[in-house]
Amino acid sequence: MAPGADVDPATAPFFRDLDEEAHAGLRGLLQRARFDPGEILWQQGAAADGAHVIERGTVEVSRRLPDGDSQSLATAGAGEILGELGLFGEGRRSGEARAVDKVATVFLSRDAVNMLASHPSTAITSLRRRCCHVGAARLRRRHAALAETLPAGDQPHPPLATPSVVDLSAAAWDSYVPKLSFFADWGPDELESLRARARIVSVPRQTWLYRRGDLPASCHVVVNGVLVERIERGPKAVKTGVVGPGRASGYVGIVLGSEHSVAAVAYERAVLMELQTEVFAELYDGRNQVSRRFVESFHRDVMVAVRQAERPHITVAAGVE
Amino acid sequence: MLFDAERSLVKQSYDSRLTSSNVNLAGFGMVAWDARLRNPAEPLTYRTTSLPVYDRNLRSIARKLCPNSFVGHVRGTRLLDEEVVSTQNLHPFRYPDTTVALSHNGILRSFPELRFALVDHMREEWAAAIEGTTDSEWIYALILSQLPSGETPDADGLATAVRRALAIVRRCWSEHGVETSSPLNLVVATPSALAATRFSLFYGWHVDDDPLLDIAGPYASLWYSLTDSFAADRGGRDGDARAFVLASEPLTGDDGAWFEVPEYSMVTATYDAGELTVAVEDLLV
Repeated sequence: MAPGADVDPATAPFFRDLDEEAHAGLRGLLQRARFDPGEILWQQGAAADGAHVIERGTVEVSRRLPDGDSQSLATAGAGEILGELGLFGEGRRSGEARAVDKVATVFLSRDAVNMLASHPSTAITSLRRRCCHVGAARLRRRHAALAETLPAGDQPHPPLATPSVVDLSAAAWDSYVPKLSFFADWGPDELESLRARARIVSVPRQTWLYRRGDLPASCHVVVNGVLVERIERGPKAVKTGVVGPGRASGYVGIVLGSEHSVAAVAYERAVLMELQTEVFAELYDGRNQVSRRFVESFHRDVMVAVRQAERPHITVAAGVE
Repeated sequence: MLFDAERSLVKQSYDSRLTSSNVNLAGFGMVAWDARLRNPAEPLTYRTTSLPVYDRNLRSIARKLCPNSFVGHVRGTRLLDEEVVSTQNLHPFRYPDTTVALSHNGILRSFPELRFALVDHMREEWAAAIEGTTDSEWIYALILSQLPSGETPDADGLATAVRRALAIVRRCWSEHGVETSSPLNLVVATPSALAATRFSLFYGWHVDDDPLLDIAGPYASLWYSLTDSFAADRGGRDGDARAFVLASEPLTGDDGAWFEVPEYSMVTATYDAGELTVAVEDLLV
């Protein structure tokens, strides 16, 4: 990687859509990088240290599979971000990124993001929201590609569950909910604010919460039990993710304004925190403390979902009758 | 696989990456079927409650072993007074009158209170054969009871018996109003076939005073690899250049050589006339 000059975030692809405060926070943190054809941006398994936004050229991401073959995961061009999972938290690269031709990128390091997060500003929330959108779009593309690998044809599905509204005791709100990973950093006042807006529902085992292609009316955070996200087509299905306590489901369509890209089936009886689309929109706008907390938790969940969906078995070995 | 691999099974007794406690100090066990040994249907069986990393006998046996089929297990237990560390409680379990062996990673919660509900679903000979105090041995006896008598089952037969046994446990536990997350990653094997689960009963349901309560805890792990790296050590027998290896975490340092078994899955593998067949199916019990 040949280092280049600092970049103005207000004119850089991907970052230019962020707000003024984010631009101010990112100033001095973006770096330009250049790669020759065939040059490796990162190796599979390397520690993830940041993300590249492609300004010019094409990058192919591929993965070495357990059987020794190589699988192309994506080809990205100008304006697209690669490696954004490496911006937040520890992690390793799930594939190798290689420049197809002459490539120029804007690089943002995880260290820079940590620095940004250490100052009180909305910049980090804006960045997280942008990454959520990228993650949701990535999941949707992945789901569509997986559906294409399954044989055509419709299969009759069981009817959708009718969630029944249940009470979650005050003790559960005080002692159990804060232990869930989604609410790990939430304060009592923030949880109380969410409690006023969310609905707690229960769905029986082996029922469908939503189907692929349905328009989302709500999304859910699992309190107890488990949802399995699946893509059904013809007689086959692929499990794309397992959503247990403290994980969220059903948001891809809401974030992207589209239909559900997977189905969700309760493999165990489940108690869920239901957020109607308008409640989700309020929580996701990043304008107050509760919303910023929500965006942070939601973004963590999106990263987990993307990692789950990129596991090799999902594409190679998870075809199930 | 036992000692030399970067993340070998023996190493996992004191430094496992993907189990909740990181240590599995309650003993080691293995069964190994080798077609060249006398009475090949009878596996070489070895169990010890001592730490396998210091076990020179095990190291010596491992150097000489070249099995067709092998199941090894390092046992972890909760750090509680009521746990019993003994050879009777070591996996894999295999009773003398069957070719089927079982090992289990996980815990069937509320087992001490509810185990007798399972007796009605066991054949007398298997219920009477139980020697130890573990949930795993009871599950073993329950699975044996779902198999036809006197036959060596193929992989499909093993998988069917496991599904039936899991359904019985679910029904018995639900009837008693107990629905608490119970990881049941099972490996059931014969000299030529295997069925394994990555499965948790009542996943996502907890009791507050559970000493193992870990709400954010991940689903118990299971990985597999179709590799020649272990088969190469086996003396280059005809037709067995590749081996199917299933483990709770990748045994080699390179995770890229391993597939993660999807949650709620049944893996079956058959080795027949030099042909290795592997399948992964959904497991919704």
